[in-house]
Amino acid sequence: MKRSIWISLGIYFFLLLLLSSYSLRIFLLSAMTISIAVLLLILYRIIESEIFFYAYNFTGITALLISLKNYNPYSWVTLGVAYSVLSILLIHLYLYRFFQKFGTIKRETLAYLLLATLLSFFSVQIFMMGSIGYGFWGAVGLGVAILILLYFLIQPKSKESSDST
Amino acid sequence: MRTLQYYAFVIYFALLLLLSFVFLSPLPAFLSLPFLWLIIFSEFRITKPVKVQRSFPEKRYVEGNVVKFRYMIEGHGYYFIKDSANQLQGFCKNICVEKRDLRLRKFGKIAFRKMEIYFEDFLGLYAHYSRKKDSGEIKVYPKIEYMRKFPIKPRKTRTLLGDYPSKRKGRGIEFMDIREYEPGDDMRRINWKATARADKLMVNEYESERTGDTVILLDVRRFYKGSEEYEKILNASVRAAATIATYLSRTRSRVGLVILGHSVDWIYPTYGKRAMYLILDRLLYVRTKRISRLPFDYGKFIVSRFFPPNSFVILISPLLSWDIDDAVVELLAKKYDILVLSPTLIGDENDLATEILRMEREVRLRRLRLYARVVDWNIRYPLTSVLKVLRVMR
Repeated sequence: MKRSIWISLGIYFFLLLLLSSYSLRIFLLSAMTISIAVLLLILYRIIESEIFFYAYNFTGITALLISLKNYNPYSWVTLGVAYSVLSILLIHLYLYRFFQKFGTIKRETLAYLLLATLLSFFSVQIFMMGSIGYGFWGAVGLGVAILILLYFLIQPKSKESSDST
Repeated sequence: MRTLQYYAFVIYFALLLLLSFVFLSPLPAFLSLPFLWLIIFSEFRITKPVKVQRSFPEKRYVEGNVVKFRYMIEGHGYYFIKDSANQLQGFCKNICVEKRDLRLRKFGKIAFRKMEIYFEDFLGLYAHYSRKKDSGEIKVYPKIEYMRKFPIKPRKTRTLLGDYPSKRKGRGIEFMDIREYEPGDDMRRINWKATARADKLMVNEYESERTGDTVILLDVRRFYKGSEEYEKILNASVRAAATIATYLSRTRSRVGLVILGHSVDWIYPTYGKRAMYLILDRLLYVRTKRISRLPFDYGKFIVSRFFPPNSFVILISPLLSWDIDDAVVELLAKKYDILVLSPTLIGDENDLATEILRMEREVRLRRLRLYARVVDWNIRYPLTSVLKVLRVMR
């Protein structure tokens, strides 16, 4: 099962290179970002600071953005591909973190990950391409709504949550 | 408590939105949505703090035994639990039971002082961490060899009936003398062969069996931490002390203990199981540390000051210091009987270093044999097999 951590990351990077192969410049840019991500991963393995773990994962997401740079972002095919590839990275992130910390990962966690990407796909379809908004300003509208939602969510939880017996 | 992953996801989300603004592209904003959904999921499924209960069947074990721990975990999510003996990790849904078998490899004490409990929700975004006060302990006693007979005989016995043959006549097993029958003598003690020879009634006399005092003097001054060989010799010394103490506590004799390490630790001679547990409990704390410069005279002083004269002193020492010889002579002069049990690991190798060590040790042993009984014990062999060849000590 632990092999799946690295298989998922390998597939993710391979798909990024495959998606960016239409242009040499994009391909090289993607390859460079992937190498930075790998470098950060090596640093994480050496230093074992969790910051590097999230840094290389974010660099991976950036590499995805670069790979899909010249694709039409409003096409449902592009979105489908982007979310599918992103879900592979998220699976890697969760596999790595949970195996390292708890030695196991449950289907429930993976199911919620896939559900999150599916819901994102549909929310983009509904909020940004449907009747509510369109294009860039639709995205901005959703972003603002999300920021307001987050503001309420980030409020500290009740004190009892930190007590354990 | 929110985890670092939670904040990382929030930062991912914010950064992707920022990238969307900077590059005037909606794709980063679209890709930020899964992180938001994950945060929302975790907000709606708040997990409760986890509860852990640990149990184990016994409090006392012997080296090599296996303890079966049972942990009952109550909660829903991923957990990481660490106490003095075990480390558990996994996933629990409502109530689950974890079993752990722990082989106790070395004598000592496992004291449960604190337990760390880390618990995360199913998406790893919320966590509970607590370090609670823990209680309970497990005592791991040194491995004890079964000794059928340990042929020692203190010079002077006490008045109470025991297992050591004394110089007094009385009811016992060991034959001592024949005398003429006197009214009141037990008919079963009549020696019929001697009666036939002497033509008058003769009876057997036996040695009366009484208790005696024995002191185990354990010398662990020159063992330093980190050396595997010293560690082995120390373990063997402690096991030997435990074996002898257990045997002596069965023989209804009084047994005491003096430990010479970084300081002098001692137990006044006591009878029976109480003595055994007192000594075994004290032996749990014997560990290799840095080399102690404590002179052997302290041990000699404690023995001669606090333990009755004519006691039998069993000195367990690898003879790594030269001040032992004079102390042994002085103890003998104060009418203590001494048996030196010297554990060693010097084998039959033919290299120069081993040869020198062997010769040096031989000189020490020969010198000590002038005054006391010495048992040279290579710890590769069991103690009982070495002591079998020992003749009765008087």
